[in-house]
Amino acid sequence: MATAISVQQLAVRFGGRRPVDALHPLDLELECGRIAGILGPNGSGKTTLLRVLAGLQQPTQGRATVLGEPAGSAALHRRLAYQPEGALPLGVLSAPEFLAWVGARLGLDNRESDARAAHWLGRLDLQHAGKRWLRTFSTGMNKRLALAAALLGEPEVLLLDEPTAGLDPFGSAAVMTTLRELAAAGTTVLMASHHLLEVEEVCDEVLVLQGGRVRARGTFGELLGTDAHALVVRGLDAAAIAQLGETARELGGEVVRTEPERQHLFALFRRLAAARPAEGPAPNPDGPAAGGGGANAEAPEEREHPPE
Amino acid sequence: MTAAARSTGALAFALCLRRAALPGVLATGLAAIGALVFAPELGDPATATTPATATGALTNWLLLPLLTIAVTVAVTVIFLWPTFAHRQPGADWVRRLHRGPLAGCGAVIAGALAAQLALSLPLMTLFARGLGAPAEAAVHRALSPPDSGALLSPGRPRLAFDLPSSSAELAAIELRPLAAPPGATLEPSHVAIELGGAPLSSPPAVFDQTGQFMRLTFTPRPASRLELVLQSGNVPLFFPAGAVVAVEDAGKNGTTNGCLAALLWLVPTFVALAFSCLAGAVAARPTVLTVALTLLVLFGIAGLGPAQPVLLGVLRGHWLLASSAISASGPSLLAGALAMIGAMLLRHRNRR
Repeated sequence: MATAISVQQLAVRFGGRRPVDALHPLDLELECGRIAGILGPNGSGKTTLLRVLAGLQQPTQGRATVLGEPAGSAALHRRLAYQPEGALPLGVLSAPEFLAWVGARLGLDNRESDARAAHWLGRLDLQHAGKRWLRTFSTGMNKRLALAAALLGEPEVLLLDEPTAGLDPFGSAAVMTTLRELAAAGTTVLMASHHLLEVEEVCDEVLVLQGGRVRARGTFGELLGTDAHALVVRGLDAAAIAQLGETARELGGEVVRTEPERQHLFALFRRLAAARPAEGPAPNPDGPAAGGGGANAEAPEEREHPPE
Repeated sequence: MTAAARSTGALAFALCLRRAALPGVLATGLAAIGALVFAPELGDPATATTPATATGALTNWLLLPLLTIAVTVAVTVIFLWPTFAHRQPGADWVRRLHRGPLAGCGAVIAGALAAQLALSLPLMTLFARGLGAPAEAAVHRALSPPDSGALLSPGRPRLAFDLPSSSAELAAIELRPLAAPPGATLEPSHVAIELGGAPLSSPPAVFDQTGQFMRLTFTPRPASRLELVLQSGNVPLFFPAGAVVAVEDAGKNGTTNGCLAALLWLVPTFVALAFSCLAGAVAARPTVLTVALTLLVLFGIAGLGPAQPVLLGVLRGHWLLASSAISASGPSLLAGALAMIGAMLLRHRNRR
């Protein structure tokens, strides 16, 4: 498979009287269509790595290429999208106006830009935002609009910095589902996040940074795999479960844990939200958000873990 | 919405127009009231033949709405565009989408200037006319004093000035000499004018104090030499450069002059925003705002650059293309351009 992101001996040092090594020399290869997560505490170099790949920060040494082009190259203007952390610019625009501006900057035809904007606004549950100024948006709305803006140019590589920070479970699920679909369609995603469960759920591989150095790297199987297998059963009484445990022991296994099944908090949240009187784009019983459809509607059934 | 309407410059234009329109209208209303209530007395009708000669005293009332608009536009731009100041939220978005060295600041400045132009055009044409600016503008040429000296006194009763070679006929002479105290009892000096050796039929100008303004109009005629002749009196009069102004007859459209004035009034805002852009490469928003507002005050109130000559020119009916406003704009524009280049270099360095 082709390489989407290639980083060789990349290092970044911020100058001044007391220089700080934001990134020590690191190597990274990410194949097309994969989702990789960057984990690490604050100040570990996650954002710096993303900014270098987006062409917003010059590396002190080393080389970074995206889709075979040097990071920051004009050829990547539309092929790569970067969703930085934090607020969106132009807070006095409405969501459609902002996306129209982004589309114009990406060189999209007006009609195509509007069609894509309408698609992503609907998909990410922002169609109700209307003419509200961006600065009046909640954190979650800002995040979803940022993702819509990043996806407007249909990039081949997507760099996301904390894409679900501040999102509610439904918004988070919508983003995660969207990322999975994008990856399935061939988009490469590199996302920095503090949400371990989300990273574990959506990413194919992970890079753990600390103090600008790589501490761990690989697929979840490589990093977390054991020789154990879990078996979940339903519909047996206590005696039958005890018998099943005996059988397991006879086969040389070990029963690690037996506990009653309970739903995750996410399911409770969804039920409560569905019972709530409609307030704008309220979630519905069949999906996480009324009118959201698409990504939201599929999310709860697919999830093993609740989002944070 | 067309592609152009979605551009960064168009966004800045629309937003600045929206933000500055109301303050501009309010300031214009205030200025109109002020000009009515505190109307200055016009010059002596015997010599100041048009009321426009005294409209220079109304520049502050024209300045008020213009400066209000310029300040609002500058503040709007600095708050709108995240790359105008260092480390603003949303700056990375803009840098990704605007790959140029100024990260869109140039387009935003252009949009802001266009908005200011749209708002100041009616002020420089209609409102200025309301304040008394003449319907026609004329070329005013300041004459240089002769090499032999610029003093007109009983001991030296004649001063000759060479007129610039121009095909236009002269229609008026404006005099604003500096006066010195006489050695004996003060007797006002009576100064007659000869054009090409022929005396004017109008009565002589009488001076008894320094900085006194006199305008002598006459039937338009061609001339290559102007002589001031002291007929009587003992007040010594000094005519430095600019104290004698020859007014040409060729009438220029006052509205066009107003449009030129609105264009020249963009220079202060451009310079203020250019230096803000330079400061914003390393400084946060409060510093950037301070830089912009300080420069606008220096231009508008302290008389730096072309702002004051432009206002005086449009109110007095001086054809701006032949006025000092043009030459005063040059250094300001150069400083602004250098600031923009400096901003590009600094921002490029910051990326490393």
